[in-house]
Amino acid sequence: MSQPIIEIKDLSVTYKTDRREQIPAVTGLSLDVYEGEVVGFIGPNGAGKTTTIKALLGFRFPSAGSARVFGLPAGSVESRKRIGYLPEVAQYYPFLTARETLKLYAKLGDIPKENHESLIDELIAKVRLTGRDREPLRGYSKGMLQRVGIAQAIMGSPDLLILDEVTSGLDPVARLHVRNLLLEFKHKGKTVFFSSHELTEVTMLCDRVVIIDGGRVVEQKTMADLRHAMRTFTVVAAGPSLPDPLPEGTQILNGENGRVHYTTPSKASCERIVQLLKDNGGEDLRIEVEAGSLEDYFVTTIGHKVS
Amino acid sequence: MNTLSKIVAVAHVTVLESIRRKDPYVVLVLGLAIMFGAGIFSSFGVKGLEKFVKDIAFAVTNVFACVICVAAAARQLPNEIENRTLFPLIAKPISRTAFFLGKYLGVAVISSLVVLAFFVEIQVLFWIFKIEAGSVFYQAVYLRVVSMWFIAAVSLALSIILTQSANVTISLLLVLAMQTFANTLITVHSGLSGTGKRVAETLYWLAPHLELFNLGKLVVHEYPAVPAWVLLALTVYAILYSSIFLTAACLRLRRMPL
Repeated sequence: MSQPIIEIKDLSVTYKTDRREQIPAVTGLSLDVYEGEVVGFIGPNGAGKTTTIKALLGFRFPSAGSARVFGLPAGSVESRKRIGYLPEVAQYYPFLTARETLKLYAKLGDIPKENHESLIDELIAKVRLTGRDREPLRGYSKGMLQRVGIAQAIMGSPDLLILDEVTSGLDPVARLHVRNLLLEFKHKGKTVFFSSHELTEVTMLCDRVVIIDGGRVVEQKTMADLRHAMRTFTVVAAGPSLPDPLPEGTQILNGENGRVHYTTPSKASCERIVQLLKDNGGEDLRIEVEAGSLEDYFVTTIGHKVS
Repeated sequence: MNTLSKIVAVAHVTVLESIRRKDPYVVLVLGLAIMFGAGIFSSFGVKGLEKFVKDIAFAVTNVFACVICVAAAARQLPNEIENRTLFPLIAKPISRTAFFLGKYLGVAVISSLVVLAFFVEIQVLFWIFKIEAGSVFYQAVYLRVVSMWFIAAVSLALSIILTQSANVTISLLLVLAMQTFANTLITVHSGLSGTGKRVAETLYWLAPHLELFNLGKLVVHEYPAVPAWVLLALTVYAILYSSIFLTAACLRLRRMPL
């Protein structure tokens, strides 16, 4: 495997309270992201997602461990030359127009001056702000501001996109549009690291998912493994109810015509239920395998790790 | 794009912000009203009222230019952090130092422009009421501009550790202190002896002397122009003191978690 683009080793970041107490936000987090990967970074509120992203950009400093981007210390000017970043709450100068804002970002982003106008035209068309680009941002909706944010983040086609809650505040159409933009990035072989609460998006875009809670990585899986792990198995059978104890996590639902649905998260449990049904006179057995949702998986994973 | 261009880009936005917020216009109109009011007195032909008009004009310029400068400098970083406009900007390849210097340059430029606009107002006022002002007038304008660079450095440096409102109050008090401190210290010094006297002398040499930049009295009393080396020395003095504050602020900002 190639050298990781993002390399986080035992990273700890703390916040200082007004009483000068140290509150840990990230504790011993380790994570690698490789070139061309799209990695979803998910976790409940307060899990440490934004703090990790801030450490990658050099906004916050590690109290222990290290973070490197493109082999350089996280936050170095050199590493930031190759990063596009969209913050969780995209705020831009309200007194500037979208065009002026993008021009400022182009100047700061090392874009050659002669390319500014054409690039800005292209970006404005891409995020569908044509016709509104000469209005001050103070009159923009949250979704429009997010689109300005996306435009500045993808400006200059950076090698790595770091997006914090990328589709927050966007309507379904705009969300679809952003998804397509990210897919375009993915197909160009760029690396994307993004946090999101929109698990549908994560499922559709990611190659790998990292679940974080309490400042630690609680699970990371490729989408293929995750899809496998998310599967649910339902055994439908007629006949007497099964005696306890049933395999852990089994849900029972009484269906039509006296049929009972036993839903279980693993293949082993499913096989155990089939055996139990056969031993207890169950008839007309049918097994259904469903894809399962990341949401259910996320809730279960976080629930298990927390308890 | 080199660092200097990035500093200029940040400064440009800072100037645009002030202009689009219309703060300087309000102050310039208010200042003009006060000076014009004073000017009307002189038109009654009472001898000596010219000096009164000049005095008022310089006092108004001094107060309002300081207020604009401090208000502009004090809001820069706290607002950027509170409104979260800072994060996408410094995620681009610009160092915190360059960003800070851009902010400083912007505040220094807008404050200098306000001072120049005030002096254009004064010039018009003098012309309307036929008041003479010698070449020391232009020297006073220049030193007032230079003093703004220093005040901007102090206030912007304080904005790293203070909230906006606290910074405005403290910066204005500091400006007042720096304008009056030396004279007070000289008075106190004559009544001291031993260690107290030495402490007063050390303080005198260490503390910044903003009163040196005020040539208002020389204009009012129609003194001749001061030698060019004085202007040069005061410019170096202001740059040195500004550099001390800016360096300390940059060092703090570089280590500051955001």
